[in-house]
Amino acid sequence: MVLKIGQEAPDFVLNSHLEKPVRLSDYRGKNVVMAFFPLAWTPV
Amino acid sequence: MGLSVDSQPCLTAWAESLGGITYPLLSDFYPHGKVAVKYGVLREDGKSERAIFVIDKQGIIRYVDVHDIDEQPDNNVLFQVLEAVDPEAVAHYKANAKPEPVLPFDEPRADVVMYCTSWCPGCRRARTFFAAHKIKFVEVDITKNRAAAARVREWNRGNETTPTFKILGQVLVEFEEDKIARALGIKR
Repeated sequence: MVLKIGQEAPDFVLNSHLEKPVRLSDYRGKNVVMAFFPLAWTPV
Repeated sequence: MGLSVDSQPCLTAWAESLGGITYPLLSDFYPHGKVAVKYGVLREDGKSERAIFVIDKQGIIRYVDVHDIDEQPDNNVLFQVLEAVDPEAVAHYKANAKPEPVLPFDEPRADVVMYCTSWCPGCRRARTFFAAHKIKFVEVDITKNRAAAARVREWNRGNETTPTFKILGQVLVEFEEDKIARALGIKR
């Protein structure tokens, strides 16, 4: 089920292409845009 | 931040091919799509949806768009959402935003120009088509020519969509055989 407006965004930590891990909760105090995309190298 | 099920080396290579991406692209690779699952956007085919979540300073979801996977979401819409979520932050951004430097770009003088990348599949199909019909064309690689990339963005609402064609003065976006053949006056 897709998460809904008003819910807390679940925390996570993932590796990034900048080779530093990124944890969502480190961004508390900042607005965040999470943009999921299907696959690299597959243009729209 | 961008997220996909791709591995980190794949994301790094892709970002490089696009001329560098300053915001992090996160690898939701192992366990497969674990974060996509948490957000409810992992598809049955193993990819994630093309989905945007806006999260405010308290960590609450304020906007969700599970977009048509074949379409680029409109940045103007996202901007309006951000303005609604945090008007102060957007006002501050607007007040301090540096205008993009205007890069002069002279379009090649040819009947058929294709703005492309080396790896884009539509560009490859177009090359095959032009070869089959013996059509002379000029290629501009927008990953190498950033002034040309700026022009492509102008034609495509801010997106660097490839292939973008200029055929006999007309801008055409994406390779569809019928569309391109018609523009060239070719009967198929």
